[in-house]
Amino acid sequence: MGYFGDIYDVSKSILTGMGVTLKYFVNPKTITTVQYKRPERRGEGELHEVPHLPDMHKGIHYLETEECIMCWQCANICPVDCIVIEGTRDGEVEGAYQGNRANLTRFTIDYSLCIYCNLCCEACPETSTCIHMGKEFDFTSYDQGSLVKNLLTDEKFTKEDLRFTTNAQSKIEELAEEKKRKAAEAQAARKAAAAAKKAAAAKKAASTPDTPAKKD
Amino acid sequence: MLTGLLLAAGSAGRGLIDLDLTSLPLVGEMLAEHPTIAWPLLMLAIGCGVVIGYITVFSLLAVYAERKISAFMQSRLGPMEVGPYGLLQTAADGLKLLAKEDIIPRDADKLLYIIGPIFVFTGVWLSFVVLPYGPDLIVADLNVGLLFLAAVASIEVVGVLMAGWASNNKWALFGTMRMITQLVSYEIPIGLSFVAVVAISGSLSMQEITLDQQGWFWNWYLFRNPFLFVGFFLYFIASLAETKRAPFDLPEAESELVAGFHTEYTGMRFSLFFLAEYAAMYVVSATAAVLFLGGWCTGFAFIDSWMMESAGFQRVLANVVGLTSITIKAWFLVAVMMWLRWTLPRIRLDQVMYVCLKVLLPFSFGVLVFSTLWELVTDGTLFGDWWPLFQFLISIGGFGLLMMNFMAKERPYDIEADFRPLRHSEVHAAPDAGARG
Amino acid sequence: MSEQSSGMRLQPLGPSGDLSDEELLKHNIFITKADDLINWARRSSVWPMTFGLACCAIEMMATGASRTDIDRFGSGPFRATPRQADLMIVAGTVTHKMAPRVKRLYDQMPEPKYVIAMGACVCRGGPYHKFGYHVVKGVDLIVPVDVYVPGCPPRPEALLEGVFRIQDKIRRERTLYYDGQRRLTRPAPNPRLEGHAGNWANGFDVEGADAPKSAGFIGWLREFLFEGHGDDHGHGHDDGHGH
Repeated sequence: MGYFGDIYDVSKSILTGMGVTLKYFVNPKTITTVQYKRPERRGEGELHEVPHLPDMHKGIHYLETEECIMCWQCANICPVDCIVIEGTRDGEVEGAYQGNRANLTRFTIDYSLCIYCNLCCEACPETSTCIHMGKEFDFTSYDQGSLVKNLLTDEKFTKEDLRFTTNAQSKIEELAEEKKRKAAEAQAARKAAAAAKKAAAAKKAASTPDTPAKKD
Repeated sequence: MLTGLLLAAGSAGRGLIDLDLTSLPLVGEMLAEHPTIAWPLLMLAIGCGVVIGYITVFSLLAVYAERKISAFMQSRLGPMEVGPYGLLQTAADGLKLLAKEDIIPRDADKLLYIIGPIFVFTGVWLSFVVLPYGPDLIVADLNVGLLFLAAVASIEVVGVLMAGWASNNKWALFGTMRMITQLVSYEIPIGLSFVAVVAISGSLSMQEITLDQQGWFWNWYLFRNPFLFVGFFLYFIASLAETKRAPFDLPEAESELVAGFHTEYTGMRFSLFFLAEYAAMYVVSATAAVLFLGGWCTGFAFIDSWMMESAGFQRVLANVVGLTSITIKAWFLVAVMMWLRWTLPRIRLDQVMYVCLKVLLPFSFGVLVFSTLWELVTDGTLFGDWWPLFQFLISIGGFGLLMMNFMAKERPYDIEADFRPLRHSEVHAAPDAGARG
Repeated sequence: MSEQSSGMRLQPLGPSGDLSDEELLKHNIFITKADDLINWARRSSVWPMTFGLACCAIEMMATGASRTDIDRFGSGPFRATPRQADLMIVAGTVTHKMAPRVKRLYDQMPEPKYVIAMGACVCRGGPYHKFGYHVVKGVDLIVPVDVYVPGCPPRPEALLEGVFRIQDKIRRERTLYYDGQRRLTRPAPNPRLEGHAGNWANGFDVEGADAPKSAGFIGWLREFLFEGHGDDHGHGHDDGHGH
């Protein structure tokens, strides 16, 4: 390419490029903007509408409270420890969420930590899959404290929720202790029964020395 | 409103409207007592007000247009929510910039820092003095108008140097240096294009240059001869660099220098630079319209002759027609500038200098020499009265041939020839590879 | 300059002002309307700063791109220099090495300025929360954050929601209005920052965010209107004592 050839090429390529941009400029069909509405322009029930959200989109979690068996699989596998589960399987706490197996007082995810890795959903046992990643994506807030979601109410984790959770703690402990006591009692009873049985057997053996010697 | 102000100023200046300013309470007294001082001052005040209003309104519209054009070219919608179709967007921007904190860096040279943007704005603002908008609409029809235009355009360099140096910021200084390199270099092709036009018109006055292009549109200097046709494009490219527009926007290159010479400027001072940039776009476009596209002439002989002969109210109407004509031409060129900006990527500094010194400069000299020679040989009337039309056809014909050449189907590019991956034998070719077969 | 000699200047409004109710009402209406206008301008052109640190920056770019066009809301011009920006979108992991730069860029922005913490890393460290020896556990340890946008990374629409939040916040601000009480809302002490120097975390209280620092012409106007007593004219607003 010589000097004039360069000038020729430059002019040609500039004009070609301008033709491309002109094509986009004049053709309204090329506009791909999806006009996301600001809150005051949304109609009733028209919240965060995003068309063509992919099926595999990993958004804010939701929970099937009925299914949860409080196995802590999700909380254990969470790489950032953002899931907090409290509750009991021992009995009923007043105001708690009753599932099929468990009685939940708290199931929160801290979205200032959550990295949407989907591991919690993977870990959730297949027999009772309860935690899912939803389509909701907006969890903006003015302060860090309200970045925690209460999955039981599907709202932000409020101070009332925290108070309830704290209060329920003693009840849970009470229930746990009661269960422990009951278990201890049961075990003691079982032990006593076993001891009694043994004693009875020994007595029997003492009375009839021939037969148990073979068995032992 | 703007048109009205311009018209009122122009008409009052020419005595077309019977506007008795002496009857006004305060102004009248001053006019009666000190006529030699008060009259020019009054006209100056009106002129300043009109020009500042024009620059502001133009900039607001131009920024909006630029954002919309860029949006459509990028498959977007652009400003939509502020006002109907985002029409109030630039007004909001301006008001917000006004209400921002004004920061002067601690180590800055305060005086230069403050007067830098004012200098830049003044240079552009002064250019409006000699731009003609109609038969009577011109603030001052200087007989060295074009020279004045070239001179005040250089004030911008001083202002930018002040701003960049006083900011005490390395990016600002780098931007300034690039800016000055670019502006000073591109003054030469612009000046040579001016000279080529002046050699034909025989006058430096903007009004006379315009009047020389009256009649049908083939009388415009753009079609005066094939060389001046090229000269228009040379001027346009050089004016892109002169106003720091893409692809010559190196002084503000975001990826290299943060924001160039106005890195440290906030709020109102920054918006002065902003206004100056868009006003400069208008000035160079209007200048191109005057020099090559007939200025306020409409390009139709019967309208132009009516414009010159009319009187009284018709004269006011003629001024409106002239204003519309030059505004349309200038806006078209501004739109092309925006079109180019959103099409082309930024080029390197050495490429900028190459384009100026090795392409535009020799071509400008060629345009000057050959268009003057053409005028000497043909003397404007080679084939009688229809010679301008022949010249128009020659210019357009040359351009058309070039375009046809561009459009012509090319030999398909052989990608294999340039980017063929090397074969294994070629990479690991031992000296005796052939012997082994 | 005593209060008597400042004839042209307006008296401070509020319970201690000597103005009649009628004048008070007039001033309030004027100031409220001016405030509305300024707030409209500010929230209509929130210019963000080109400032991407990690993968969230890709989503920030996507927010500016064709599909979710942030330019529709007037936030299109991403300014390269902090001096001309209103909003700092901290998009991506803030490492300890980057932290001073983030702080410096924030300090270089002119008032009024806003910060969006975009993504989990910026909110509280995200994936680096447990073992990230090199990551700042939340950018609110360095700069006051106005809006948190969680996500890893957040969708472009979520960032748009964050910008709406900022706009809502600006709508509630008061620039010129001044009720006579010196009341610069300082952020509440952050328990996470006990023992540290700059206690600027957690942002401003939203409801009470009524007196930002003086800013250019507006700051001058405020001083002119309400603080026109020559004695403490040059005084900043920072010393929270009352008259």
